[in-house]
Amino acid sequence: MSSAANIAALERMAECVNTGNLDALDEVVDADAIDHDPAPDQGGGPQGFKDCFVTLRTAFPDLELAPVTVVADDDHVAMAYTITGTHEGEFMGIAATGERISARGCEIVRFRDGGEVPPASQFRGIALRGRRAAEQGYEQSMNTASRPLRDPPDGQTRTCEDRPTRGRLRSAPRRPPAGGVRPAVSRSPFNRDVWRSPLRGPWLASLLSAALLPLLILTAVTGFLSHVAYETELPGNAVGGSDGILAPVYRALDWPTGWAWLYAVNQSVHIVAGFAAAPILLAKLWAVIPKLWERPAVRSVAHALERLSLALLVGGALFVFVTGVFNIQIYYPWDFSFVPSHYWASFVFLGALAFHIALKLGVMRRAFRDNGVVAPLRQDLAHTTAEAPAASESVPTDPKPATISRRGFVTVVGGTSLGLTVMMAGQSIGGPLRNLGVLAPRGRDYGSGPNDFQINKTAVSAGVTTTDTGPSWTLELSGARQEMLTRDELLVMKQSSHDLPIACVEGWTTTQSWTGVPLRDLARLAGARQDDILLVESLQESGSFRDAALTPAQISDPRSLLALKVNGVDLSLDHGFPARIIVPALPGVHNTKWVASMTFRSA
Amino acid sequence: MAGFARLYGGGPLHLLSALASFAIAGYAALRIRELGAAGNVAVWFVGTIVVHDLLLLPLYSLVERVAARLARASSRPARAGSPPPPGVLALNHVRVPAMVSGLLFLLFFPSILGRNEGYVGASGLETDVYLGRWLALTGALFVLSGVLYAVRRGRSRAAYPAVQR
Repeated sequence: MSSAANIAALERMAECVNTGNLDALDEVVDADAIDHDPAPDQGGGPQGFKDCFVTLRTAFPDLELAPVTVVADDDHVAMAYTITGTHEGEFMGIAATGERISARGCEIVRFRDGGEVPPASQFRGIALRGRRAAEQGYEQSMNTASRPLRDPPDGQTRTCEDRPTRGRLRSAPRRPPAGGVRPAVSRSPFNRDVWRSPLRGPWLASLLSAALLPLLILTAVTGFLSHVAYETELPGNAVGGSDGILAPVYRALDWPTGWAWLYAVNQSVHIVAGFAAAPILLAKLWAVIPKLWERPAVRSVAHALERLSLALLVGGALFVFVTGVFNIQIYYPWDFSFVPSHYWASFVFLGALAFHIALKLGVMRRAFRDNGVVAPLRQDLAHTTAEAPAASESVPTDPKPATISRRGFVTVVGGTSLGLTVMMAGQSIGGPLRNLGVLAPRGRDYGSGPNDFQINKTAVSAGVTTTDTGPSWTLELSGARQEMLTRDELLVMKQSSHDLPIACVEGWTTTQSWTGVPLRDLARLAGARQDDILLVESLQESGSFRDAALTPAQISDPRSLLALKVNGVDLSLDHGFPARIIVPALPGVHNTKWVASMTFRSA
Repeated sequence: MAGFARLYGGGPLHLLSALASFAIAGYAALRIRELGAAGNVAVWFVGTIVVHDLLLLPLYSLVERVAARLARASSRPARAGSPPPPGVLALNHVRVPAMVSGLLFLLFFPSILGRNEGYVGASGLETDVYLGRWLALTGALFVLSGVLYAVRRGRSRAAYPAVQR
């Protein structure tokens, strides 16, 4: 018979299976037809097929058989198909689980008018997701040769040579495909079929997620700790508005001064981890973009909530990353205040992330179990093929040939991540490594002089002029007593020198040698009490961080200084002349420059 | 319980977790609204999704497709054991440095294009160096990629001298 007629016959069979009109199989399947991979207890001829499909349709009432690729000639039809359904009835001894199953199969059917050569078919087993399936020993894996999951029952073992019988599938009149038989691929835009890279699939998404998660945890934790370091419960320190229900948490936590580089390391990790995560995040979004166009768009209320949560997840991630990356370059093309928006948006993101992880942990485990964790990385380009389309909606339905292997893809993403890490770490560590920060905002050299190091906020931009800082400048010191001190009077007091970092919230650090009057000496001079805080105000008239509040622990640390000199010379105007605060582990902006007054008072 | 699952499409734990994550997001939104410029935050929030999912990613995929066709890398897949077609190698050695350079541009364009007006006031330095640095980095990436390409082509020629190119 012609190939077209053969295909029509097979389509008719699929239509019968999908609509449940199994009696119509009598018209399609010849009385002598043999299934060479029968289910247990399946007999021969049309009745055998009917019994098989009745069993399947009882277990999976919404059973749907969708041909993916059909190849035919005048004697054969080969069909690769996907079969899906919901497990709502007992199947092969496994009680209904309610889970959706999917499987791939390949049928080769031989049509003959008479003849000795029998048809052959092979059924790749149904993979029942979940623990029960694992217990039963079912499995489905990518790129392995299929093998029967069960040996044929005793007495029915047949080989091609044994078979004396013949089979024939009678062709049916050509009819248009029924609703259950889908065209394999749709070419309309905004459809998952448009995305054809064979690399996409649950394994790649899971690997990228596994790499992304620790980096996201690092950025989240260090971000939270940065907020702690700002001591927002003290007056003047809360740049980002009130802390709301988290206020008690921040009140209870005090930032220590023990290790001077604590804040420097914390912020470096925050920025470096964020940049390291950026390429992986983009790769992950690339890997799952087909799911944006999945059909049906909303399967159920639960599905709708998941999709809404995904909007918060993706939007939150992109918002936090974009605002962060722009902030470190001092670029603010928006109307909102950076600090509270970046901070609270991260909660939107993290809440959605927790829900996402809970939902996808099973997918990840399955993907790694089915394919191995690193096994796909060993495949070279010639062996790079797509995962099973039914594994996820991100897998292409019509994959194109791979142009890069999975290991190539992962290498590129990982390499980019590593490169960004090196670049941003350079500006954090400083010294000779600062030159590695080629595109980093603070990867630049200021010169070799004692005042040639990173400036944060020039005097010009702060509106501080030489007249304000001239010989007429005095420090207003208040506590139990009031004192006005000139710079010369401060220089005459006992000086201390310490190497301390200026660690900016934007992730860069510069360590210099500071000389000045210890804060605790000034506290004693002003008659401050043990548990007084210190409010420092700058000559800077307006703008953020013109003032800062320090904790009692920060005041009493012997290394905390009102610095008058740096690296042996007077502070330059840009670095805070005539005097600036410098405290171990204090966020950079709280080391107030151009100090005008210091007030010790109760908290 | 089965009725609930049928109506809702998942278990009660699913619903609770979803609501919890929405509650966190809702509280955060309230906090942001307190600060006045909430409208702009929403615009940026939605805007980043739209720009990325509906603009950047499709654009990137389109460029990919054109590049693959130009490189004749969309022909039949390589047979196991034979080297990849030279079009594929060339495609990869052009698109990888291009992608990395593009990503660097995307991340650092405010500095590269000098659009970050606050930078001078903050650091005391001009932004004019960044364009040159990015171009130099891009050049270095392509040179490195070219060298690797030559090495790999040489190696595969040596391994498969009989294969017609």
